[in-house]
Amino acid sequence: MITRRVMLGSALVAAAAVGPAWAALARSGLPPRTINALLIDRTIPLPRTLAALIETDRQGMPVVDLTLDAGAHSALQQTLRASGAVVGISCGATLFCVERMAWDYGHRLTARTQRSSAASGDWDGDLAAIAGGGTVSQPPAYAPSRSDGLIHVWMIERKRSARSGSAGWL
Amino acid sequence: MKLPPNVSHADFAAALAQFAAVVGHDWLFTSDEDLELYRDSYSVNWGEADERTASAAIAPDSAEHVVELVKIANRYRIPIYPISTGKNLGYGGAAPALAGSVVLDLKRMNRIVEIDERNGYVVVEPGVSYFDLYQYIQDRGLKLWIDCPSPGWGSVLGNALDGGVGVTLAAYRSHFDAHCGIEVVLPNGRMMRTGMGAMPGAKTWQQFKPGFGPRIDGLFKQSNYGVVTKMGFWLMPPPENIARGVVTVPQYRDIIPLVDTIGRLEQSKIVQGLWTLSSPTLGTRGDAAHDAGPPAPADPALFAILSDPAGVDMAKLQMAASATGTPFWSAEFTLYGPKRLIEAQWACIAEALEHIPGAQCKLGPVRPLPLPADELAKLFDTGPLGIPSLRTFGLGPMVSYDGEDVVGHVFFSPVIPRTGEAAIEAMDVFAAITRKYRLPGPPLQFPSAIFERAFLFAIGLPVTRSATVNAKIRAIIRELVDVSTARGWGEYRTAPAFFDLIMETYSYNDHALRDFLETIKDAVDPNGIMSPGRYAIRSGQAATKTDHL
Repeated sequence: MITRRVMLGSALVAAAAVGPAWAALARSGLPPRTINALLIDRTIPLPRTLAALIETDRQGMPVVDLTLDAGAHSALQQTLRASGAVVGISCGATLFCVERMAWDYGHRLTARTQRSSAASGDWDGDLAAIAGGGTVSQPPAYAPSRSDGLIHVWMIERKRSARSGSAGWL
Repeated sequence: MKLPPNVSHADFAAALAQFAAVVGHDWLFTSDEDLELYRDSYSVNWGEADERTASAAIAPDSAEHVVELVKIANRYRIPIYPISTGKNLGYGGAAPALAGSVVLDLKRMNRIVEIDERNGYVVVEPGVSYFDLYQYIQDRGLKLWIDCPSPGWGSVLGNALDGGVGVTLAAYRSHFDAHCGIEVVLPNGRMMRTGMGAMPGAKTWQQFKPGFGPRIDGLFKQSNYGVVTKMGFWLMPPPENIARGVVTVPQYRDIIPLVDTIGRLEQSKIVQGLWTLSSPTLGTRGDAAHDAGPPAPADPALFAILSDPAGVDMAKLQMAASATGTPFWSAEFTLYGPKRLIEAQWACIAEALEHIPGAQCKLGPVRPLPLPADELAKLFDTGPLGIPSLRTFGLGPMVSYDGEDVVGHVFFSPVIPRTGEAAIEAMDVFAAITRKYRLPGPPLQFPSAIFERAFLFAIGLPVTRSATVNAKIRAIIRELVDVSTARGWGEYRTAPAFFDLIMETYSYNDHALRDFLETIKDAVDPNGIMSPGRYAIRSGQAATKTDHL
């Protein structure tokens, strides 16, 4: 079971010790955020540099593997139920599923950026920008595809809207 | 604030206040941000004036809440639209059939009321998903299996009411047919139970479907005669083993004896698991054959024929396939049960099909269940193993259409006769339309044997966020409906945008069926508050037609 852990916020001071993406966030000067888990899409191959980054970050926070099967669904439910915010890396199809499941726990997709999986890119920077709540300029809509070659980095956060109720939806 | 049709602002405000008094303010949703979640992500009218969006949503926690909400809706003539988990994507999602309706979101009613391993049944509320039920069974180590559709996040109850189907044994695949007993809140706010449940204290509500007197459960399938708040389902014992058997036949027209012979085996209950039709020649797998990857790519010699923009010349393809020794069709069988039963079933299947010249029959290993976790992780779809997943969302080559990103699909789902001749005709007809509009997909799509006695030909058409492209898709669907209706093929299910279009095709004797349904609607829901327009059934329509009845 994934337990709720505070990664950033009070733990931000330790960011440099727990992973390069979070270290980048610490360097960015963006306001501290509380990220409870990192959700990684295991239905797609990830670029080597991104995979290495995730493995390093795994040491510092709960990582939930998204495989869209029953076991992963259960872990995801527990994570969403216990989390205020999660950051994820996935294809559009997986994001589409996770976003809709997250709605049932009062969460919303609040930030997203996308990049071609074939291109070399600043994944470190993307993660830092998303987790830090910095301005991320991307089209609001995304293609819920697994085969368009895009990898999305995103944040889903619990909103204090009525729909979730104070106790959460489920 | 968006208003329901023909409701004043004052009445709507009063109704919302009373709704909130029942469920609590936290569970009444009126903000744009919240209502955004009740749009149909796959709407083929997205962003257009006639997109069907909600005016509000309310989320009761119990059947007693539903009773009170329905009474309030009647008082103020507020149209309400019940949804279970709202994930019926491709067939409408969470959006109402009538714009301005108040969505009655039953997701909080997610209790597994009763589960009985000895008699193999479960009673669920609308918010219980296939994932929930599977996990509940696993957590308790119950010796029960579920039958689930490809996306496992849907409601067990909602999927059954919408006519959904699964992929295991025939007796459980039609989810409505596998139900036993309904609890429903009628449009006047009165609660009713069907079958044996009509007897207070009945001990056999989930064991004897017919009950006493007319069997009316079917009135609550694809309809708007009430809010179903509980439903019983028969579950199966976990099979001891699973095996896959494959029969290949060499010729295109071998599909005719193939389908006939398998049909007889199904009617005899020798074939009970889902069988799927694939084509090694075309390199295409049939619908629902999701649990493995596609067959080996077609021989390069066949590609030129397959990619002919004028269509696939079957005679040429047949010759080329024969030259390479590639069989045209393969039928893949999933067999369940004790090893000796599987082997006996397979012996019967092989004996029956070997009379087709050139047929090859091969049974794979009989595997004890459950399969190891690492093996399950490699499967594309675990549905045939009674395990829900969402991996179907990773399926599909649809990335763009007409230069627009594809964001979803809408199903066109005709039922065609279970014969090889009808399958050939349907493949030809639908392939021609696919070519005409350059729709994404294989050169030929195959029918599915998911229904027991008829083929389903489910075609997913791309949905975009472009009004122009979506209008084109709606026109294509109208054309598909026209050509299907002309051949006697009717749709079994559709999205709200097409309820009226499809109901119009069920017009025998000057729409006697629709008139009858509307007469019932007038009787049970005179104020027309319950899901108006759902499956094209409305109140107040039958009054002028009584001379037909």
